[in-house]
Amino acid sequence: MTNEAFETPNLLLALPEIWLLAMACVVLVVDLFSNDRDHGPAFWLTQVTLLGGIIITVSTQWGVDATTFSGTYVADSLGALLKIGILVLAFLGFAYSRDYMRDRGILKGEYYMLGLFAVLGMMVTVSAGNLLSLYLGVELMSLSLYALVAIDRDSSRASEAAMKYFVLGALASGMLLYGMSMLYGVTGTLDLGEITAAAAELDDRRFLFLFGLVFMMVGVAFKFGAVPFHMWVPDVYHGAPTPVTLMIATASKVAAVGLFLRLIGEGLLPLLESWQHMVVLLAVLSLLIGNTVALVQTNIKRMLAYSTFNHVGFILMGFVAGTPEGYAASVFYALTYAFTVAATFGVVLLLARKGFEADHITDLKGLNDRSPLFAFVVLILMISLTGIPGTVGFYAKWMVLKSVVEAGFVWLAVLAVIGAVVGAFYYLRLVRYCYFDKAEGEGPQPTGSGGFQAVLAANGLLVLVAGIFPGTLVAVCLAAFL
Amino acid sequence: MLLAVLSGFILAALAPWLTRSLQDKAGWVLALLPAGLFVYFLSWVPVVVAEGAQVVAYPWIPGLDISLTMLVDGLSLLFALLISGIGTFIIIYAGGYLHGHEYLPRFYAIMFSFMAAMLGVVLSNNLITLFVFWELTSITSYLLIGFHHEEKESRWYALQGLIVTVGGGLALLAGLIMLALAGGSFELHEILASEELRDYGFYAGMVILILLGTFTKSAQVPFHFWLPNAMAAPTPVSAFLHSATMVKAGVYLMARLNPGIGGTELWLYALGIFGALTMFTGSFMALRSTGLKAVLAYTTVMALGTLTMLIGIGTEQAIIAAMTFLLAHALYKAALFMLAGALDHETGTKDITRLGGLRQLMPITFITACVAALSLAGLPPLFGFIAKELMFEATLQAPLISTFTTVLAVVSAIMIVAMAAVFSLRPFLGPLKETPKKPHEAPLSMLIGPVVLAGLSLVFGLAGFLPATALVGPAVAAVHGAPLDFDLYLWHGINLPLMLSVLAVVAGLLLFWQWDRVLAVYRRMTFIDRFGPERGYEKLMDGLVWLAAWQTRLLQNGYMRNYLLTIVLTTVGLTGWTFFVHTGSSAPLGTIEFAVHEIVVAGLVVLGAIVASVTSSRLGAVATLGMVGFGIALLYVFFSAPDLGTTQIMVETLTVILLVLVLFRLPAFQNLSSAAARLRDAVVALSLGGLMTLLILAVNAVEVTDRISDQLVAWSYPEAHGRNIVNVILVDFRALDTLGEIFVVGLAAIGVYAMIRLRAEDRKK
Amino acid sequence: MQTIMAFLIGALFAASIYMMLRRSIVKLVIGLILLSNAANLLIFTVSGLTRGLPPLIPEGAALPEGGWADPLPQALVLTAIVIGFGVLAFAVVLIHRAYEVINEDDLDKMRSTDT
Repeated sequence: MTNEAFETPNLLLALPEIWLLAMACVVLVVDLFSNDRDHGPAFWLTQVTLLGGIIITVSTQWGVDATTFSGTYVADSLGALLKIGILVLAFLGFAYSRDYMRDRGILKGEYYMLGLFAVLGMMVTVSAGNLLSLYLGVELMSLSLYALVAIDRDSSRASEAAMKYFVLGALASGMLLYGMSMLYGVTGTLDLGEITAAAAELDDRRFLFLFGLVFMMVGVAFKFGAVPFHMWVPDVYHGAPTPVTLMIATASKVAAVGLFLRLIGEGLLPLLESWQHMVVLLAVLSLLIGNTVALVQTNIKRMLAYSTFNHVGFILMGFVAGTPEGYAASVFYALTYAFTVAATFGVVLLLARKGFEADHITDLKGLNDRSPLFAFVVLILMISLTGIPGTVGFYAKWMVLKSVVEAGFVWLAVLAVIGAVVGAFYYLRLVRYCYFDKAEGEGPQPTGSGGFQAVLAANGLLVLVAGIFPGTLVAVCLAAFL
Repeated sequence: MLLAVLSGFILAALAPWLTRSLQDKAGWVLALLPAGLFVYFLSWVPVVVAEGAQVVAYPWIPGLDISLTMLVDGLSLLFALLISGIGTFIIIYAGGYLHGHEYLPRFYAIMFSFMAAMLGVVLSNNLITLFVFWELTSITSYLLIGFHHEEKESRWYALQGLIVTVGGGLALLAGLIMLALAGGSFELHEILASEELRDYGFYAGMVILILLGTFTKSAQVPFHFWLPNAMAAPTPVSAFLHSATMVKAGVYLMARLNPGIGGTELWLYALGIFGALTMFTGSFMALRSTGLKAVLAYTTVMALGTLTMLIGIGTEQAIIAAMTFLLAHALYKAALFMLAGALDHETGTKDITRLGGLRQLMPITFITACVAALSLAGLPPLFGFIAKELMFEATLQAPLISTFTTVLAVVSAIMIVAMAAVFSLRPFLGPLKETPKKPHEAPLSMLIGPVVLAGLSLVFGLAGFLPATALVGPAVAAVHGAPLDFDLYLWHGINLPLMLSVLAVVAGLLLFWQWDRVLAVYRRMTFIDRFGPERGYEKLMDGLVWLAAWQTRLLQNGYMRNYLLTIVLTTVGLTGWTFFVHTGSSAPLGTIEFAVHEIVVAGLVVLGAIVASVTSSRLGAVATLGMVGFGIALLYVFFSAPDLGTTQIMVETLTVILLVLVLFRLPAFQNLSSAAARLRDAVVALSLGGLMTLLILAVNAVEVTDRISDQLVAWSYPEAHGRNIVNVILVDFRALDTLGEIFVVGLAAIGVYAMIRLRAEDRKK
Repeated sequence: MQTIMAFLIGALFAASIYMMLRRSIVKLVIGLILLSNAANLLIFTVSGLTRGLPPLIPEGAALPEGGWADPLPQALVLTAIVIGFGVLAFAVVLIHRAYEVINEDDLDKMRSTDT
């Protein structure tokens, strides 16, 4: 940057975020002046915004490698890939949630506003080229999510969950910020590219980097919900309205992958040997804890919360090697996992109706008799989450395992597979309920509009198709790093 | 070859539909697939006999380097033939046995999946695919055993089988990965060609892990309890699981790996001793059983023990015996199970003591049962006799543990002779007894299998050269690692094995004669049930639930402060560790220089923080918080940051107003924690505070020379025409971040609005 | 003075963590306020302290006279103070609402989780 003149930022490069920001304001205004009790205009505008965002991201950012706003914003394939994932996941989340939110009287304009802001925060996070914009993105995302968790006014469980999420999240954000200020204190720059260069050179001040690193790792691990920074996960998953849980479980995980990659995976790659053991520790703890607890859960949301740890362990394992292949494996894993889980929550939402949550595992009993299509969707989702060969979940696990074995952590791979096999018990239990058990009484019927059902079915079948033809997605993920 | 394995899965998908449309003929039509497979595998026999093992490779996902390779040699062919051949009869048999059953379509679907998975296990050349198929057999057999899922017992035993075998599978997986590391490949034919497996550093660990997998699968002591319980399955399933599949998978793997990792003392002792004990336990428990299927289930345990023991002994003689015994057992066990099912199906009871005099009513069943039972008992001229002679020969020649194995083998043989007699004679001889259903001969679909299989036992016995050249020979070559020249025939001359056989038969018949008394003795031995390994399993399961509950209490107890404590302590631990590793215990203290006004303000801030923490008055807390905030504002001003000072003062004022407004709507302070909790929290808090202090000192000791902000200062006036550099940075150079900041604040406002509006709406209601 | 500031910040952190670990919901709020103050001071201090040289450019000059305090961390802290306030306002309302819905200010009583 020395002796360069100040350059005017190229706004076009950041078009996806600008579009989303502008549209969020439009949604806000339109909703204010609309009398529709179901907030229809806000819903449709939001979905158009997200779809438009996908198109813009694909056309302006894929295959590009450029920075703008003095290096604050990075437009590249990795960011584009993660953003597309986030946008699609948010689209699914909104598509699944309308009936549910309306039935509970919490379908407000703010729901769409906060949701869009959360998405914007995630997009900023994954495109950040600078510590400050990274932090702003994370804060934007987190604050929106805290508010979303608390959106159900009558639920004491939700209020309590929101409070815990907020207080713990504030502490974690604080840690992230301290870590960043340490880095600034040592290098005198906020630019991630320059920090990477400094990290490679500074030998005598290396240990100061490490302190910053530890604090940032804590913050990132919290956003992932990695053990031992995981305690908010079950309470928040269970307490939040299911559509919000969906958002936290899917899109925010993808954003967390972006956060890790920008900040540590790429930003502090020269310090690989220093953070590798921390990631291994987090991965091991995540793989070990939660699985046994998930075995005895009877609430689907709690079960998914505890089983998340195992998947988070896998995602972290992809980071361990510090290679492009490993990172690509993590991205592939996070994306496929998020889409599978999104559809799972979709099924829970499909079966829910006014005054009834359908989040108990026995609610799935005899689903095959009521709706063969969605019983089949559950079957696909669960075998994919288990990682049975031929499903997309298997390829995700395989890519991750391959990268850690190549990095020399065979024992970690063994541990991970054992965890995955344990997972088979609670995932396949749901399949058993769907197909082999009779419903107790009537059993919840699939409700929801035709559009909802069509999107959900497509989501489920896409998981199946991705399992049969994984090549394209694998290639895309690899291309984002090479 | 790939299609041969996968066709089962394909048919499984179609089976429910086919079953419904074909109605009564479903069994016969569906059996065409396994029959076709049998013929196909048969066509491979000449190839393997002439050219040895074949490796067939198919690329699967080239991008991920996964390919499907299959190993076709004598061993895998022997198993594949048994699976498809016996499978054919089982499918036909199930059509009769489960005739008109509501879930018959589903049964066929699972059955074909299971068969395909089993073929996958024995034909896989890649360790990973082998393991995947291995686990698939566990899962599908779980569904088969729990087929009568309305019955609680059925589900319970199915789950038991699943947990034991999948648990063992985990150990197996670890073992297989070590094997792949030791052999430098995941392909079996390459691993087995490696000479260094036995010198691998973790050889013992690897073998123990693999054996944990095979022992649980093949029901070796002390994991044998799940197998007899798996009788809860419908009879066609038991017949298939016990004769050629599932439980033999463990035996298959041990035989498969024998040329690579066998032949050591560990291998000999582990397999020889546990196998022999299993053999004895199986026959001992068989003798006390009165259920038709229970007897057969325990003789299966006996057979599995025998096979394991023979593989462990590992001499040429033992390998020949093992493969012969394997074939003989599959033939008679499948036949006997199907006959037991037929008896149960036609009379309505499985209890041997309640059956009698059926020879007139069910003559074909009677004769077939006699032939198959003779093979079980090991009498000439059946194939089972050859197998038993070979086994005695092998135990007599066994290195190191010859006496032990021979004694147990003879004792087991005696009991098995007795039970073979009980099974084949008690239900048919004597006076006719009252049964729940009026008995008559079973239908053709249920008899064709037993008749053909029992017939084969006889044919193979009389013409031993047939199996010797086509089936047992190539299998022995695969297990031993090199072809052996041998022949199978009934008459070996008068030698020690023959004498042992005679002894077994005579003693066995005596035991049969006195069987009712034997049962009475057993009934007094209740300790068997109380202290068996099954109790251990139940305790383990209880323990798992307890562990989950304990873990939840520990980690997920809902107390937010525990969550906070964990986060803080982990951070302190990680940072502290890094700190002391890199700097030792000494903190780099800078020179302490200060101005008086600075130290006074700093002191006030600290004092304010302390008072705010310990005061019991809300107003006092707010006031001291204000003191802290304004003090900090002054510090900003002292250190050249007037903008920060003004901002801090404004924000602090707003904060105090906000607190006064809201705080007094909340209840007054209470001292809820105990003194011990307060002390603990104080220690934690101080440790974090101390750590932060140390870190700042460490950072301050570092001189940073080149800051990017120097450029910003230089640009400030010429480029942005601003004299307050901080402001220029905020609104020009870092405008994007400021925009983000505005949005964060705006977002907080929306959140606040959402919650306050809800309150207003509440009031309106 | 850096050294003294280090101890000052440590004390603020300790006080805030201690307050956040209390069971009373009001003390939690106070802990959060102290935490944000401590964080801001931390950023300010680790970037280096300078006395009496504010980053202001006098009339007629292109650079501040006689050196200047690093302006970038000041901008950063300014952002942090404002965000901190927004978050605090949000937190106060959220906690207040949690209290209203649950009608309990003992955090130990807020534990609807696995049983």
